[in-house]
Amino acid sequence: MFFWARNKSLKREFEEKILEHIDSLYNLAIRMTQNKQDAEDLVQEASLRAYRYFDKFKPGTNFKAWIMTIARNIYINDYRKKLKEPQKIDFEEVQNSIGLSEISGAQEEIFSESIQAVIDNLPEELRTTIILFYVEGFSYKELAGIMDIPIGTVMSRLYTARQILKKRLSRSIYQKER
Amino acid sequence: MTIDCQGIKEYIYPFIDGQLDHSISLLVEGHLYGCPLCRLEVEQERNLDALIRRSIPKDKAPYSLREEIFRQIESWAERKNSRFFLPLLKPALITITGVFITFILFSVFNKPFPVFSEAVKGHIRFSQGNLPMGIVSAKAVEVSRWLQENLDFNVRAPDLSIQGAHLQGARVCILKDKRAAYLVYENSGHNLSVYMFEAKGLKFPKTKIVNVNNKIFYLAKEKGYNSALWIDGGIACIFVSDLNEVELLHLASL
Repeated sequence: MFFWARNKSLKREFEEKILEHIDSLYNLAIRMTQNKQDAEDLVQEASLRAYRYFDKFKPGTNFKAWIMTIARNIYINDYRKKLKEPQKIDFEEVQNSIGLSEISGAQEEIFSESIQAVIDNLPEELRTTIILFYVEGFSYKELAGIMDIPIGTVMSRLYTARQILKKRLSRSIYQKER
Repeated sequence: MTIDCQGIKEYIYPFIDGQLDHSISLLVEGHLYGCPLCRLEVEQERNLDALIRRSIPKDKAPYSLREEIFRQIESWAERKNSRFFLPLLKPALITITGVFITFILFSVFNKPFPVFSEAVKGHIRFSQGNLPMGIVSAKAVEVSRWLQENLDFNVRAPDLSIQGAHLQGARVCILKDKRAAYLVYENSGHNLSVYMFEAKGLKFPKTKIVNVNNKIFYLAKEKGYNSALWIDGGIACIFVSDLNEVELLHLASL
């Protein structure tokens, strides 16, 4: 009887938690897989795996980081191999950045459109880093944990991503104006 | 300690990301306070960050996905429960059966042994005056002769007068479908019933067993009466009395 009751309350607790973070999970999944069907499958798999191992989750720790880690691991192990990696961007030194304080409303619109395309063309490591950092607001330390990399690597990935976005931004504004 | 415009470079991103240690953060702030150029750079980076944050597409999970996940959790929970209990089912059944059999055996073994029960019943009937004697005599020889005439097996009435038990009389009774000699003795106010019958086919009671002078006695206590059973030369002998176990064994063992 105790087993049933405990299971039931654990299940309810899990359902509440997963509901709270399902949008974040899906958003990460779709940025990683770049495909709606794969993203849904990945979220399902991550949710079910998290539920199965929910007794291993330490209460009081970051559930969101935990489930993101699970999703990322599934992606690495099951999806990345079968997916065609997007074209790698060469991280050439960014020289010609423009002053961002000068961006107008219209330019921001242009930027928003192009930034999605830019992000989609980033290597997966950078995409994931950007999403987890900008959208989900994880700290460097949490990012390091989720992606299983040193904090220094987190910082260099963020740096690289920012330089690329800056470069693309100036280029797109330059192209539109011309 | 202070930092210059070159030294601040590596701290700008961690600074705007709020990931710097408090002490270093204070150093950066100190430099920015006095350096408009670096201040501008930080401001630009902050603007870029805000822009990126606003521009990143944020997809919401479709409703059907939520439903599907909940459905899967539900079916997993059910499977998990049955998986948890199925492997337990077999051992549980074995355990229950084992306990059940043990219980039955236990209750069988603890059931008063039929021969003892009947012997005690007869003893009570005699004590209440409801069991007439076939022969009333204090003489063992007389009683033995009478028994030989009335039984198809050979028994002699034991002479217990040395131990202070005096023969009163005898009759023939049926004990567990067997004809048995029933003798009554009196030992300083206590009645002693003695049953003697052919031991062939007698199942030995699972009761207390004591060994006195290399003779095995099966002891039982029922309805307040002590019984002792032993077998000698193919004849089973049962003593029933309200005497205590030691007194009974003293009478029986000689």
